[in-house]
Amino acid sequence: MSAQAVDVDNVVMQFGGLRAVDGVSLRVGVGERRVLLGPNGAGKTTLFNMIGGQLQPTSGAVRLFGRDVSKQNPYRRAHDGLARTFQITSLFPDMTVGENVHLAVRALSTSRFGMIRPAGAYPRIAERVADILAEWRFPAGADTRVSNLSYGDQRKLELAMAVANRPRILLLDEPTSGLSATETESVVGLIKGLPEDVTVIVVEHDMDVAFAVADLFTILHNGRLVTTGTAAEVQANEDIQRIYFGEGE
Amino acid sequence: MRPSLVAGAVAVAVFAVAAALGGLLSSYSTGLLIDCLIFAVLALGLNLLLGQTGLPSLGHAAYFGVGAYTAGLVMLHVSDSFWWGAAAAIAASMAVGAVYGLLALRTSGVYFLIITLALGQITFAIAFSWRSLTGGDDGLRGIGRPDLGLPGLNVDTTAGYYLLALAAAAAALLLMRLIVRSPFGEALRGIHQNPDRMAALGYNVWLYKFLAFVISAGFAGWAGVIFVYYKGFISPEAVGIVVSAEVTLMVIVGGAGTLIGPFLGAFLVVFMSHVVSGYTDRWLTVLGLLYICVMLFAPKGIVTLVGDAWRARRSA
Ligand SMILES: Nc1ncnc2c1ncn2[C@@H]1O[C@H](COP(=O)(O)OP(=O)(O)OP(=O)(O)O)[C@@H](O)[C@H]1O
Ligand SMILES: [Mg+2]
Repeated sequence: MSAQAVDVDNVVMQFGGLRAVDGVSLRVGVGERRVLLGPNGAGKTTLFNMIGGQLQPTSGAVRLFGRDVSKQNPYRRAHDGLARTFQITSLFPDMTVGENVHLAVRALSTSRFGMIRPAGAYPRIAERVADILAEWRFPAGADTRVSNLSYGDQRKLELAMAVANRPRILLLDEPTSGLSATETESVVGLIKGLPEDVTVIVVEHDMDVAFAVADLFTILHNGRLVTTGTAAEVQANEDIQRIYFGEGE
Repeated sequence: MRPSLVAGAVAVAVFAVAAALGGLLSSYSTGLLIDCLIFAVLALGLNLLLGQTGLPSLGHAAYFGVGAYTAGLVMLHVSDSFWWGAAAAIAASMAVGAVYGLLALRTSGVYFLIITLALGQITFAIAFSWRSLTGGDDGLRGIGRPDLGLPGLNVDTTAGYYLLALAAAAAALLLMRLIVRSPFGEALRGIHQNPDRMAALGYNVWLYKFLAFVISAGFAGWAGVIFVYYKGFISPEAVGIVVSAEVTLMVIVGGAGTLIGPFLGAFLVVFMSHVVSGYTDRWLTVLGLLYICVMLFAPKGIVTLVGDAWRARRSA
């Protein structure tokens, strides 16, 4: 049996008196597209943080491609092929768009510790940065400071940086929140356009987006995994109707 | 002409004028400039941590002192070669920086500030109490001028030593310029702004901070070398909290995170301390007032203030 891309094994995250994630197990196969659903405070971001390494589970294990990474730093997981975006946009606000992309592209290169040559004097990295900027087209221009970018473009940059190094596992935390209909559509297009072997987990509140990008849906509620099912199963399940569609946003 | 060529030409011209100054000024004024250059190197080193990486080290006199004592000890007991003394001093400063960095980087924010301060005070206490090595509060005396092994440069005179100090500061500035423009320097700025995203992208944030700490200590040690050979003595005072506070202020006044700001900040603070000490012995009070004024009117430092004003005029 081939290893799962992401194998979350009975993880718990305890914040003081609050059990934000309470014994969740989740297996996502290589190349699978999965959407995580659940009302505010269900523990979706906390679960992402344990997969990405931003948080270490109180108990339980996280495995990527069959390897236990529970104790590994986020940067090690990035080198294993994991990339992510953040629900709250997480960029380098005082740098330009180009510099942000540059940092993303450089992150997995051996030259990232170089101290002598100027950062701009690495042709292969500069080329890749130029390709990404051409592909994603930031209307304000690559030399715009990120803090002066529109919200929509900041979200776009967040995404561009996550896929810059062609990750094998991609975690997207509410990639379309706050975006216009057109912007949302282009995000959907991007996710669907990713190479087939890329494993993608998306936290998404917009059901249209969710149904467009994934075949399987996992529902969290109060830190627990309620169920995993297809679109039809999710829509038919009464508990889910009550938990999510009833009282969610 | 390309802007980098212009900048290069300006830098060479500044260096030439500065070098010529040594022959023209009085020995007192030249001595003052040497002090400025020494502290400029120290501030340059601290800026890598404070300005680039956002790590507020408040004990940088420790690495300065370790460098100065080491170079002094080499001169007194081993060799009068400048290069041996400098190599040993920088190595010792970086080694102490590595140990202190391991301890300090277990914390962050204000705790980082406090632990670097405490480590600085421990270093001061060691310099003060390890009499057999450091001479205690008498310090090390009778350290002569070093032998550079370069014909034609006589560093026994103040004017000659000034040339050495100028070359040492220029070398430090060029090396620092390479570092801050390199991928490593770019990563430090990324870490300053958003360490969590840097980690998620794949950067080993801790290792970058540690390396920045050690390199910064090396620059401080280099400043200590130029200092001790100039003064001919070193006492625990040079390792103390006042020096640490002064150099922190130099970085902030000049412009933390800019290349040239800490350099200018050093000149400003050293000159001020000379002027002020002619009128009052309340130098620390003046230092505090200067800090408050900068925080109120130019929180990003003078270089940034001037740069912003310049850009505003040009675009207006
Ligand atoms: N670092 C933290 N410390 C303490 N409590 C936290 C922390 N992070 C999250 N929580 C709490 O854990 C619970 C789950 O939060 P989480 O952010 O994972 O929810 P979510 O499903 O992502 O919600 P949303 O849809 O609002 O993003 C919430 O009650 C939240 O307040
Ligand atoms: Mg969330």
